Amino acid sequence: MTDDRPFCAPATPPGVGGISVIRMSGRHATTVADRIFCVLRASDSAIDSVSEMPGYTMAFGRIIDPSDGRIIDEVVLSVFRMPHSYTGEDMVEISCHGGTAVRHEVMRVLCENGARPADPGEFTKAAFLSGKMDLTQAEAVMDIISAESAEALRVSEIHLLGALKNEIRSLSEKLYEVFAQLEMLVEFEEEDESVIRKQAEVRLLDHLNRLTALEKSYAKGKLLTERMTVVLAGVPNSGKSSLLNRLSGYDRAIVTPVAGTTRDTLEVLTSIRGVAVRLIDTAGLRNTDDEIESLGISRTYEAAKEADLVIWLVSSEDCAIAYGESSWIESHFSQFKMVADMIGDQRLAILISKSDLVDEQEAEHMLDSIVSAVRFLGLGKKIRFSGVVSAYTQEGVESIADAIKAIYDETGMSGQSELLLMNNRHFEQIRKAMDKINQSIISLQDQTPTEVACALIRLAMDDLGEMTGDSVSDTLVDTIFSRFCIGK
Amino acid sequence: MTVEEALAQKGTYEAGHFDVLIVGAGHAGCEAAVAAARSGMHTALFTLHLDSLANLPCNPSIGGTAKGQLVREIDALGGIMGELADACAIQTRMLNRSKGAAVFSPRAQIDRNRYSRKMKSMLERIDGLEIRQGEIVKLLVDHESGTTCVSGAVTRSGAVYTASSVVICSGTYMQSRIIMGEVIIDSGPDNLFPSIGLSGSLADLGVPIQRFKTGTPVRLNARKVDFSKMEIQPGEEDMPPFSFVHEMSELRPIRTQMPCWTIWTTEKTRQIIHENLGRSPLFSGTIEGTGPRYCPSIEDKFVKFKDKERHQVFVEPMGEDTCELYLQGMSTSMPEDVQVQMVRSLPGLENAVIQRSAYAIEYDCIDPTALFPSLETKMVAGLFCAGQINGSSGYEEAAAQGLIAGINAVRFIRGESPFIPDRSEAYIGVLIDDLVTKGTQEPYRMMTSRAEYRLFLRQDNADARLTPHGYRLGLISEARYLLFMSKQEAIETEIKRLRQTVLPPSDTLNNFLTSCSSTQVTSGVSLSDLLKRPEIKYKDLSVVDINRPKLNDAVTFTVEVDIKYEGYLKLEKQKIDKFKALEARSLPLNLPYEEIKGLRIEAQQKLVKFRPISLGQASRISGVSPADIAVLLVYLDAKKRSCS
Repeated sequence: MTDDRPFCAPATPPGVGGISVIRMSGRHATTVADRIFCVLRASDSAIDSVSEMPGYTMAFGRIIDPSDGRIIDEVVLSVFRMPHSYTGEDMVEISCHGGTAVRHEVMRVLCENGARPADPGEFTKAAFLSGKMDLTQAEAVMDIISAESAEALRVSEIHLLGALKNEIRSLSEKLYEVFAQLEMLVEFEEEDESVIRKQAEVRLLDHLNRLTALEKSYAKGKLLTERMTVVLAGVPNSGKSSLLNRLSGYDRAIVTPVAGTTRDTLEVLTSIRGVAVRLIDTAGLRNTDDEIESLGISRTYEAAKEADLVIWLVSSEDCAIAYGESSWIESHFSQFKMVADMIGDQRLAILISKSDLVDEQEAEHMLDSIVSAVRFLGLGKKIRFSGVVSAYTQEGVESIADAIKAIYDETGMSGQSELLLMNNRHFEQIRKAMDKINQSIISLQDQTPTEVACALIRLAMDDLGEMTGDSVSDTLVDTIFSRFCIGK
Repeated sequence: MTVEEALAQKGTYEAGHFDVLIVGAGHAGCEAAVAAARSGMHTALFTLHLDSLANLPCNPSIGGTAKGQLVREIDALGGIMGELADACAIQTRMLNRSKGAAVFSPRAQIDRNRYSRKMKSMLERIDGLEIRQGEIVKLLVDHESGTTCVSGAVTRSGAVYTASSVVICSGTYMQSRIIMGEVIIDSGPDNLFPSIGLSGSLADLGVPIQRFKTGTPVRLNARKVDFSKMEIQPGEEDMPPFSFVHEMSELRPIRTQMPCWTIWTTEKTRQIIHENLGRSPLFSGTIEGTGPRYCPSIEDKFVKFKDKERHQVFVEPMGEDTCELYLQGMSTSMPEDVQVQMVRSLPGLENAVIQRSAYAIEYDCIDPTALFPSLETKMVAGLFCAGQINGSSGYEEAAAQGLIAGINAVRFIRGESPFIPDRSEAYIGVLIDDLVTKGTQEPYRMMTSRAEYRLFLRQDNADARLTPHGYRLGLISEARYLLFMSKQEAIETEIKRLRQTVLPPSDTLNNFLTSCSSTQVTSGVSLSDLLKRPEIKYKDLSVVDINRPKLNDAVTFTVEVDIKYEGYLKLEKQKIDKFKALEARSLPLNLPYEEIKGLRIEAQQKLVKFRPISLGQASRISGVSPADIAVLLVYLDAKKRSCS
């Protein structure tokens, strides 16, 4: 027989947080909860066990280890009754205090008293199996789990509501119209065969374009789940690490006044203006014999190549020194050019750092001369924006955040309720369908009989149907659910 | 009622035992009888009228789009329709020659009297088969440990037969009545007796009954027809025969090729119909049965397609020894006097003499979802239904089901698992799966669009798809199977040769390509790559293919299609593999769907009602969602794990 123990898992990510939520789902979820939970206060004073709690109610109480009577935590426990729960089964959610130890203890007593740890994706699988959601919805849940920023969450929510499903279904319907018309040609005698074939060809091209748009959005959707990359670069001691700490909101990088402290690239995952950003602090660029440092420098170039934005920092101190002597741009020309050549147009920000060390006018003047020098080098089109910044006074930090958000918005992934493909399986299915539609268009253009176009369109519709779960192949379900992370 | 109870009744007598008892000797019944008898079963075939065996009461033709494919499949499995049609053809054509190879469909005008006589003479000579004129009015059953099992049948004259299995092929005869305007007569087609009582007996056993309608046009005497006002439609001399036996032999039946003619309805026809619509039982409400949308009566056409001023009518011969003509496209249930006016409004038929009137016919059939894909009823073990009783229409659809029911009646008696061709193997598979899984709201006609894997289900490769099954089932002789194998080998060898023969770029080659409006080549190219170009035909390629072996047309046809469609067939094959995986997951018939957690209530009810034999079939039941199939998958996995 199947294992009918309820399954449980933490639903909040690991790490220290205010509270942790542990979920349990299954026919005997409330029974198991009663073995370890002592009700102190519930929605109705008559209630003194979890089994008596109606759905959508909460109780305050204690988690107690029945083996020794020890109190583990004071928690809030919520009950959901089938079928009105995420999984469609009876569910219990325990909101306990944050921290790995408490969480671990709660999981332990649950599992010692009749529950079992959930398999990866088991909650969502249960929800899918109970007909609570279709495949695209289930996969969007997975994207939500891994979406670490508000923006990605918004796109995931659109998916969850079935927007992707609706778009695909609408496309399938359009394809079906063409298909049906071509089928008429195959099945019956029609006088204007070439006209109908031509019409079908034109309409298929339209639909192919719609699919192409979705396919293209994959790159953006991927960026949403995978974050935007911002690289901080510059010569040693230009203040990269300080700015990183500022932007990410806490001291992550080791900041010292010694040039060359950051010998390797250092990554911080953060959220700036609701945009998920991967901030990369790099080793300062200079000619060096130090093996480790050279390695760090080559990693800097690698990072710059992949970056959505490279912030090149020039310390106001360096500029002050450069005055009157050779210009800054000459002394750091080779390092700057190496980086600037690697990045795309409008992907470079030039910032005068440590602006607190000079007065405002002087900082502006420094910036002007650097920017005009860069323009002179013919690298002007790479510049996205320029300005002054102080990690110390926070001057200019806001405008960097604004600029990051602007670049992000510009890439077209924000604001409107645009449909984005964020999931690799969807991407593959769209690709397959596109390939077949493309072939069907070609077959209509040459003398290939109409039945071939029909066969190809039918196959393309099947590919799209597999995306929405309108058709299910034997292995599809397993493939999808094996990709779920635990707890959902 | 049991056999004992039937014998206890007054006027009955014990008439003997048969392994398989077949009710109705139309196209389904005859195929079932031959399949059962050739499998060594002691078989009885009952008919209401012995001179109307395998009658063609409507169109005197066999084959056509999708139907031609069915005939080829019946033949490939060892059925009789193809051979008989070849022998009785008076005009043959390959339809859809201007379209793709997948929809090439052989069609033949048939001498209907000869067809019926040949069938009779053939059946009379089969060992173990008894044909008997008589009306079966009641089915007998036994109840053993919770299951109802068929045990025999009773004729109107009181003969009580016992049988291990019964196949009902009642066609359009059950409780049938024909309708011409205000006139309603209890009758089968062609003024033959209707079958009274059998449908009640089925209903008593819990088989759901529905009522369908179809119709047929008038028949004329050709001597009063002015053919000069019609467009002649000659046959094709070189149409490949239906039967493999004839296809691979030098001794093909000689074809006489009588012509057909086409005409169009006139403004006068339209007027007559509109003036008399009130007298049409279709619109007055007299007809309750559901008619087929694809084969509407002429009055229906004028009402439904208002913007069409005229409709095409085909004038077809009924046979060589008769002057009778059939008016295809003029099916009607109008009163006789209106029929005369309508016919005489057609060009060339101004002085037409009608020999038989047109009529609509209503009849009882069953809801085919009451059947397993083996065509056995879910209510009564050993009781099979085939043909129009299952809600289909057409001789070919009927014959296909008859063959499968005959095969499975035999397998039932032997305790073997049923033979069920799937949707990727045959139109027969599509036909039966559609009927038993989706049911039908109107007489079901085969169409090529119904097949998902149409590029595979071609008339030319029916033997490759099905003859190995027919051989395994014992319906294909050793000699024919060897011939089949040699044909397959010839196809493979030729495909290989075309792939391996590489032509260097030459003036001859490029001149040839230019003559075909094809792009020239600058490097070596294989014959198969050239053949893949849509503008180049196998036949034309002989100019540059000097060492071409002499091959049978049937061989080269398949070679050409297989190479031209190679890429597309590969794509379809991937889909078929996925499809087969779900078909292969069989579902036990006694699965406790009510207890499976996670199945939606609607799905539970549907699954309990349908009792699908595989996950694949379950997935095609309306009301069963992909999520439900996922639940079943998980359930089956869990069950398998707990067993191992």
